[in-house]
Amino acid sequence: MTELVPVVIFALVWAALAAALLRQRGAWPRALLVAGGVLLGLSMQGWAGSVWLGLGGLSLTSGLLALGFLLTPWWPRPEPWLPTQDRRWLILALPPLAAVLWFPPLSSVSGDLWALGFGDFRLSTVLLCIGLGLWVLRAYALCLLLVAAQCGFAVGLLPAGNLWHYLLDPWLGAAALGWWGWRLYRPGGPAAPPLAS
Amino acid sequence: MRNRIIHLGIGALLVLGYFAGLPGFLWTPGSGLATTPALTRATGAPPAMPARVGQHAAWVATAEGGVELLWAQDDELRGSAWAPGASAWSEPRRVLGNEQPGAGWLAGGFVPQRLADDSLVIHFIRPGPFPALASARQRAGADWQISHAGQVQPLPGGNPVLRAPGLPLADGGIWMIVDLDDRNAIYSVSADGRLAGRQFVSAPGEQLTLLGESEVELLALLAPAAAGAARWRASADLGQRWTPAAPLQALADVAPVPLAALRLDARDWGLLRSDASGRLFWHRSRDGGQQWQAPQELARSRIACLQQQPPALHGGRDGVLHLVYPQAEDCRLHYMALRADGGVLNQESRDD
Repeated sequence: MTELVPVVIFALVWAALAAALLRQRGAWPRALLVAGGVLLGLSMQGWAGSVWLGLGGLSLTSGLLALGFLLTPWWPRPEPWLPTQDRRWLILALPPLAAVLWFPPLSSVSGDLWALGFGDFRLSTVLLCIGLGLWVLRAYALCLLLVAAQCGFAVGLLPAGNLWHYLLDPWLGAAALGWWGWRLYRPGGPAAPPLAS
Repeated sequence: MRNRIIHLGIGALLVLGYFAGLPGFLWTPGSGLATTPALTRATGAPPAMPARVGQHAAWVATAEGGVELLWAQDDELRGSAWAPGASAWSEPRRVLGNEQPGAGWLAGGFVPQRLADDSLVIHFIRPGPFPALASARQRAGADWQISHAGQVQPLPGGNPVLRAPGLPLADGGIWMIVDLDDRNAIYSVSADGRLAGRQFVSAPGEQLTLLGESEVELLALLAPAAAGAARWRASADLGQRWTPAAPLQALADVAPVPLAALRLDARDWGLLRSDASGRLFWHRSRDGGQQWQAPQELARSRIACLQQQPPALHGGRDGVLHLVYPQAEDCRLHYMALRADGGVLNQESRDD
């Protein structure tokens, strides 16, 4: 089970990227892309290159964002499942969150925020405060993403026992940072990357 | 009304998420340490073992009650075993090649573990920009199975190295020491192969060695970053809380090489250290580290070799202590058998 979930997450992310690039909105093309992603992920399990690319370590957040994008054409409500304002907050929040997490190991600061992810009330309390802020602002989709990561952590969906693995991965942080750069380069560009729409 | 119900429901889910992300403790070590039984008095002397060319030498008990030396050579894991009563060490066998775990799988060291069902587990680090802890497990007569425990560090990069021996837990989990650039960290891997916790108990540059005294008591022995005095810390609650680091008075001249420590009996510890000139000394304390007997010089090596391959020490069930250390001349692995009192049983070693 724990070995299969990273493959499914990889398949969803791969299929979402491929569907965005190929502009495929039909159910069957998207389902085929997901199936192809699962086969690709399974075939890469014994391949050292997948470790090199970190494809087995994608976070639950990445998987859920990709799933949301793939299901967008069938979303029953008129407004998108991840509203524009939520998208902006997510993209704005990810690079600072990644920096807070990754700064100590980069700079040899003694704080070990990574270790807090193994289960600590301080990290959970901060996340609760963030969640309550989002709740007051009625950013429900982000609240649900946060709760999904925490519940996934509680039931041990991923091979790692670290909450950070569920919330965030380097590719997601890099994607958000890339979007920052894109917005700075083209201020009048779209409000969010295709995967968050 | 409907919107209000959704709003309150999501608020309730946030509280649920808070408790879901809260296992309770920063350090969730596992069930308890699997302490080894007291060693009996050594009666026999093992035969000599030819010097080996290899890296990351580590000991593991065999299913037959003997002991096997494992080492990395040419991206393969090799082993040579001996059982009490046997006249010679077995010819080196290929334990596991790189076909399944991938090329370069032993570059980051390995930690062997013998489980209660006699399966052999080799913990290693899969190399790459995202180095990940992984393990290969072989049940008796079956094929190897590879599983992953997750990234060693949050960021890509780094060059983490595993250092044997691990500290096994009663439930099949293990604690392992990982060299992360200039720091040593303790990683806890659960019985189902999940990365379950990490913590730092040593200062930058210090080399950490763990010694389990009972199910919940353990000692962290800290070799200094530059030749000098070693330090120690103790925990009586499975690593939840540690005493402040204090100098270990008996070990004033310690090279920046990890110490090798062994529990011989309750409060009876043996310890191997190297001094600044590369000489190896055996220390013993029979009162839980209060007093240390006069050290006995065992062998001479070289600091540069010892930093590549720290001494690997193992207590066999028959009371024989098995030691492997690098030779001073060419860093090849040299075998020595000794008793708990430091008496050398057999140190002849012929070249391969």
